[in-house]
Amino acid sequence: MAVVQTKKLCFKYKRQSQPALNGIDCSVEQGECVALIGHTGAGKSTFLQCLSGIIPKFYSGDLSGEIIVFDGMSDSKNAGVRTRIGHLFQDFEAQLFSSTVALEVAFPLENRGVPRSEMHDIVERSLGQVNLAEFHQRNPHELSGGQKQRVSIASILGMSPDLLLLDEPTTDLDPVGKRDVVQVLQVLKNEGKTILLVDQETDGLLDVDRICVFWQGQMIAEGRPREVLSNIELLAKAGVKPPELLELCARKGITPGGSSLADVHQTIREHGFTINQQKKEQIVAISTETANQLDPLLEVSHVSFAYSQAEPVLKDISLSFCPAEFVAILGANGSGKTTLVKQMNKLLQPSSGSVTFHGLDVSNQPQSTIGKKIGFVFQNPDHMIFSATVSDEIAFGPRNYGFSASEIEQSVKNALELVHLTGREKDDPFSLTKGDRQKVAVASVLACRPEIVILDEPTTGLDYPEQIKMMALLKTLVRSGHTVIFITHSVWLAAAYSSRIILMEKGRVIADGPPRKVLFDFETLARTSLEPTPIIRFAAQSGVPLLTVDELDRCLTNNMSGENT
Amino acid sequence: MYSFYNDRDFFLTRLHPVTRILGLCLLCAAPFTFNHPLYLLPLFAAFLLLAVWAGAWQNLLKVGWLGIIFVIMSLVLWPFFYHGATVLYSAGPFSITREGVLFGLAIGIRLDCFLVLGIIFLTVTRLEDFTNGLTVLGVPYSLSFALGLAFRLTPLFAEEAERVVTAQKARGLDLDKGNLLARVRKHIPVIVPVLFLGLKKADQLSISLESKGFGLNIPRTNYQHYRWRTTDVLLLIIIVTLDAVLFWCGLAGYGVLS
Repeated sequence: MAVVQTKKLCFKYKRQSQPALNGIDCSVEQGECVALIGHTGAGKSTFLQCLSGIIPKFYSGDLSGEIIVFDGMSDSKNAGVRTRIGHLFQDFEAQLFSSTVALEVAFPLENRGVPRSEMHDIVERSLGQVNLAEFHQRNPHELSGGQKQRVSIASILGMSPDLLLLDEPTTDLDPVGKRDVVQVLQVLKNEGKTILLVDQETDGLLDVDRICVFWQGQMIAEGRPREVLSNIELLAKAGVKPPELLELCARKGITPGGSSLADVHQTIREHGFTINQQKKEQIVAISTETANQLDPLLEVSHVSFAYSQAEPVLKDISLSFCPAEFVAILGANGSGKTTLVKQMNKLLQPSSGSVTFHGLDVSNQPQSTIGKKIGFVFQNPDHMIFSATVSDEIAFGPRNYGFSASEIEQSVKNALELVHLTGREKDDPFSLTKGDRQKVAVASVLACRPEIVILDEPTTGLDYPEQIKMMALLKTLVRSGHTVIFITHSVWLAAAYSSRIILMEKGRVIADGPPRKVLFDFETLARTSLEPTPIIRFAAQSGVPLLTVDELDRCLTNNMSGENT
Repeated sequence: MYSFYNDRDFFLTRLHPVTRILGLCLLCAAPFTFNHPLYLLPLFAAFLLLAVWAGAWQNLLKVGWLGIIFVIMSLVLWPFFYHGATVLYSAGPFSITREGVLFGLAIGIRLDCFLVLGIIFLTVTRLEDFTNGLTVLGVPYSLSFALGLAFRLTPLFAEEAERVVTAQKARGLDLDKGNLLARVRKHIPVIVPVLFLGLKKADQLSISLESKGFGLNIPRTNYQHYRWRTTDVLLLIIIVTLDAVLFWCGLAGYGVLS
């Protein structure tokens, strides 16, 4: 029985010139788990909002075509349909408004008239499913981003909807958290629930029933996960990162028997591919040569930090940073990453220990001096943007730091070039996409000509092509002599771009070194709730410290031809 | 975190929400019985002691500046409007009388009483308790929820403001330097993002409520269970009696400026 059916579904937002959805024909059977993938703006979230009735109730525009959900339209008049749908938004924080976690999960149950005696059991069960059983009385707004996301998921699970619409349900979760959610979804699927899921990360989508690929408002492909995810060209067009192992096989022109590590290993062996040791040595030697030999310019010495009387968030941290380093800081939610980087540019001051920049104690210098030399880009560019034009926004920092008019003009021009936004000077920053707003935020920091640039999760909310562009931009900064320090949850990004990785756990640094060392220490990595990428696992099993699909592609050679194919 | 609520198991937090709401309203009536500062001061002192007992002292310190502003503004403005017999200063048509100054002081203290009582209420009452209490009193749930929205959104706005200030400080914004006009202008880079983010959140809130079944035509149940206890009834009787005594004193001419 089809739970969801759409025929020629089209929707154009009121003030937009292009339709967000353009003739979507989709049918989802009961008990199916369907993933929607595609670039930012492809129409995935809009599609989910049409199914749950949010469009057209809250967003005006031109809606046409047919939507049938549980044999009835999912609009506000149809309470029977509304109670059977659970919709988790991309901005999950906007769905939190109660004063405790338990009340947050209970709120939809109260609205549905669930008896109190049943509510307590449901709340317990839902919180247990997302590993938040001990968080009943906590205020959701005091939790970390990942914990908040789990609370949002629990409140949807508590409703026990027959149709779950999940819009990027794992963005802020660490890999262990993501695995928990995947397990919960599996249980729900087994119970006969129907799930539509939007996700940017394809590695976790191999077990869904079907994948639909969205591109510029159209559904350009659908099929079984292995079929869709092995089509590298399709994924490239759709702006989606392919699963690493499938990408590797596709580059070698082979089709694995399955999607697991063992299947891929076997397929690679069967086709006669082996690691070319000489090429491997060349790759490893390049990364060793580029290891930084310069004197440190920023030093963190025995820094500890606690917010008022609470448990210390940072415990005796000592680190140093050299020019032109590209450093990734990884760790579980709440490990102290953001608190650490805020010590570096005096946004926070250590409870004990010191931070020095060019040998001078940061705490003794005015914020205006430090802020100019150590730039900070926040996770959400909307916390910074306020000007009417892009150029005014970028000029804000230099003006505050007393640059002359000609210096401001030149700095803005250079910054725009670096972020590839030349020609957009007069644009309204609020009208830009998230990716472009993030670039404006980066440009506004670069315009102050800092020596060090710190970024807090610079790729959150960006699709794959935008992530690549952002990281390429940061790489350019490193090549031009800046030190870049970025916080990320993404192990593949850290592996592909950074020259040094710092792992944090509960306020301490537990590993600090090149990616080939840190990311291959699986035991230490597991302490941070992070997991090696599939390609790193493959490389480890093959006995080589290679980090990316590119590296493995270069090193895997076919014995028969003797050349890399 | 910008919520005033102090989550502890305590006499006041165990009271029925209706008791807390009615208690607040009845205690807010008490300062109206007098308009002489010498009579209002002991009442204010009593409310301060109540605040300490309720664990609201830290919250009061956060808004203490507001209380000082109330008194200063009342002292400055009311003497121009409240006239008495004892002239202290006169200039043309304007005169400041002793009674006017006392009245201004009394109004300031009265406003501070409301402030203290409000903070005590927020310290011992979750917003859900407030909403549920209003519903029990007959206010439709959707209206009770809307009234509680101010409490929900204020901490969110405050949090966003803090993040924005931090982000702009990192770009060299110094809110403490310059004259008054310069400092006001410097707040534009804070106000604009906060308003934008706040409006976005408010917009999202309505959609979130819809997604969680708010406004369905189904009788609403309650996760929390509130019981009427003897202490609730006794406390309300005590407050009503106190109000009655104070009103009798006021009617009898005590604490009233002549």
